[in-house]
Amino acid sequence: MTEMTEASKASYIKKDSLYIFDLNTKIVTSLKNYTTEVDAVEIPQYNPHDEVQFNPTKPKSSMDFCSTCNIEIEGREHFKSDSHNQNLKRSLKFENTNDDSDESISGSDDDSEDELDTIQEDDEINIKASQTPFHLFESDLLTDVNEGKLFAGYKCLFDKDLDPVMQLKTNIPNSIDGKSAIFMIGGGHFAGCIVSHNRLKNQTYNKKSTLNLNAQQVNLLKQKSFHRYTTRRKQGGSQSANDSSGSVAHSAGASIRRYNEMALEQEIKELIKSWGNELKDCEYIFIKANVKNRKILVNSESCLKPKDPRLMTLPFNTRRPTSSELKRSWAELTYLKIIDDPKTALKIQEEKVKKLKEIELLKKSKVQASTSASSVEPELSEEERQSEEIIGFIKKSKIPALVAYIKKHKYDINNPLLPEDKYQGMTPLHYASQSGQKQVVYALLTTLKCDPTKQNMYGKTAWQVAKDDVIKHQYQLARFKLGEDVIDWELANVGQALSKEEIQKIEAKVKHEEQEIVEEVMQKELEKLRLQKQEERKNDKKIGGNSELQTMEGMTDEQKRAYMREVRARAAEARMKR
Amino acid sequence: MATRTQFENSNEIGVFSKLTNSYCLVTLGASENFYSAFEQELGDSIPMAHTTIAGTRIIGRMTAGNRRGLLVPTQTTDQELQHLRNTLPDEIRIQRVEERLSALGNVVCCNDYVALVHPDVDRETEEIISDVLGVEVFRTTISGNVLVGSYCSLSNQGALVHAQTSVQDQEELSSLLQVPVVAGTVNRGSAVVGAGMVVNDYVAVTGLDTTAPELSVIESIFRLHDAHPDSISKNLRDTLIETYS
Repeated sequence: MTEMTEASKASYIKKDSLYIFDLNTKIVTSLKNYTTEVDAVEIPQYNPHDEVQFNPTKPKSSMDFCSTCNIEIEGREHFKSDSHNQNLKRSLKFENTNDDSDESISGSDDDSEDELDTIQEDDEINIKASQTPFHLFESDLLTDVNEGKLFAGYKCLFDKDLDPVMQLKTNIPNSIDGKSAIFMIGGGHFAGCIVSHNRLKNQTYNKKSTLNLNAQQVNLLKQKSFHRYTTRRKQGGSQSANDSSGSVAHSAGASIRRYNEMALEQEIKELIKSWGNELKDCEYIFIKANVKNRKILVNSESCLKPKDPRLMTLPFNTRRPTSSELKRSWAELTYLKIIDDPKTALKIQEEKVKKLKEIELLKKSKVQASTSASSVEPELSEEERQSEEIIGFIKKSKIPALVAYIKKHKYDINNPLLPEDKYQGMTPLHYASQSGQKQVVYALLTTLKCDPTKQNMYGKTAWQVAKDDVIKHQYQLARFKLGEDVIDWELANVGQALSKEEIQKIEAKVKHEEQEIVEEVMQKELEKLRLQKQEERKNDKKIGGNSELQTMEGMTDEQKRAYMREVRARAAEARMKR
Repeated sequence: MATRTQFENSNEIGVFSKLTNSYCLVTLGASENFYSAFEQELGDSIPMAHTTIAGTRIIGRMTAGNRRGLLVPTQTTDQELQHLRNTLPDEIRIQRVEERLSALGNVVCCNDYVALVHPDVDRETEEIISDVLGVEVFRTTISGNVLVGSYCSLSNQGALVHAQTSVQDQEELSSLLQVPVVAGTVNRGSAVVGAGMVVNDYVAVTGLDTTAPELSVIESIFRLHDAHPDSISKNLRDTLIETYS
């Protein structure tokens, strides 16, 4: 245990010790420039005395093949033939379309090995073209956890022409008493600061702040941030950008934004002017702004001249310009990072791709296995499955299927449905009578000889759980048909036997009664409405309501026509206004 | 000999001039160096005409011709035609061609024996070409490019074609033309070899940007260093010895 902790301690490098202006001597001495083998690309030198490779195609004595027509030929006469010309034109048309399809094929090539190759090449190119914003350093101190990793410092802090390690040893630490400036402009926000290279070492970590300790230790000598409303809400973009695109908005918002843009520009310019002396002493000046905003800061009139070698852009993404973002950016810039070696990162990436592919393969094989053995899937017992199917038949009132199923599986129709806790001791007859399947109930009783005396968990027979009278009639009909001897109907609580005609009579009677009730209700409603209308008419007369028809009474035909014309004209006018 | 020159800062020599074994056309312009390069190479051996074609200066792309004749597009003015007639020797036939593809230099590529033409050229034009220029006419493409005149530079000695011509196409072209064919570039990598240079049987003029390797290929394929004294003994040895024996 103790050994472990010691080892991990040794390999642990404090982030605090990686401040670029105040690097730990141990680290500095261990640093070496990181190089990739690809650096040593041989450039073939041209020697004018060398023989240029020259092997022209000599004419053959006899032509034997036409590649356009894809046939064997004799002599040149074929090339003058109409068929050859036809084929030539066709091949031209075909070639044009073929070219496109070729490209698309290569684009969607899903050959796995090819893809890997292209990834590799891309990354190598990246290293070659050194598109990374970092200078990379190897070090002996990077062991254990950090094995295969590298130190990385942002290139913009280094002089291009000098050796980066040398600079870390001498030039950069020498400027620890210096200062730098950072400016950010975006979306109507401005933030600028002058930061000392000397950290606030005594600063203790403030838990409430969202910034990490390194950012909290940033020593801002001067800072200013302000905001003006300049961006167009919902549409996005600045007002000036919208104006320059041709469509000039005249809304109040647009003019406010125009004014604010100018005011922001003015404020920034004044600020830069007032910081002129400090800016002169700055070692680096970082600017994060788009081209247009950059011109506010850097122009021939301001104290930041366009060709100032100190001017740099921040080589990473930043958030909204605020003072805390300034601190975070400065901390980000000035601490060495520990990052993966691009080469090992490449390997890791490859492995990841491989693993992903393996997982996919596994998944595929699993899917195949499951589809091949899909019958295993439900964990229902045989009886449960059967009751499930019987219920299915009852729900859809598929009587012949139900009868066939029961006969085939020799299922005892009087058994309660399973699982018991779900169906509470119901037999299929209970189920059918509860869900109101009258044909099924009748069929169960007559053809399948269901026992209606069976009780469910609560001691109710199927008759008692019947949905309505129509179902109950089915029981009575069955009683009538089967007779009294077969089943103890009294035990089943079934009412007296009724023939079909009797049932029809009863139903007709019920229907008639219902009809009467409905008619009565309708009569009442109508009466109500009539009374209401009379009431209204009385009111109308009192007020002297003038509906159109009333005013038109007592007019001559001509007057009526004129009046209607007027009305139509008014309607048209109203429509036009809309 | 191959020489390098420029026409008013343009390297596309084949655009602004036309060179055959019996005459040379150059365009009108302020580029005195351009003319002197031609004069120096050609001397008094063949007549040189300063002209425009249809009012344009891109005469190399507008005309097609060889030792026997010259084809000009239908847009050529009477004055220009008269001027050409007056400048060029009488035995050279000059003919206007009514062709939809009026940039004849781009669609026709010929030496004194064979002409390669754009596949869409009119049948009448094809007949005129074979009559006036006295050549066999083949409709073809150069590695899929229909503008055979732009992508091929041809003399009686050899042919230089678009750099990406496949070996099979080269073999076919070589069999059609009955001269050696090589794929190459001019003017520092330009594949439009027809427009980048002009050549006849003893002179080639290329753009000023042409590199030494390009020039060496051009001199080899068009056999332009045959003019050296030692090459006579090499190439004519068999004939000479036959004479002596």
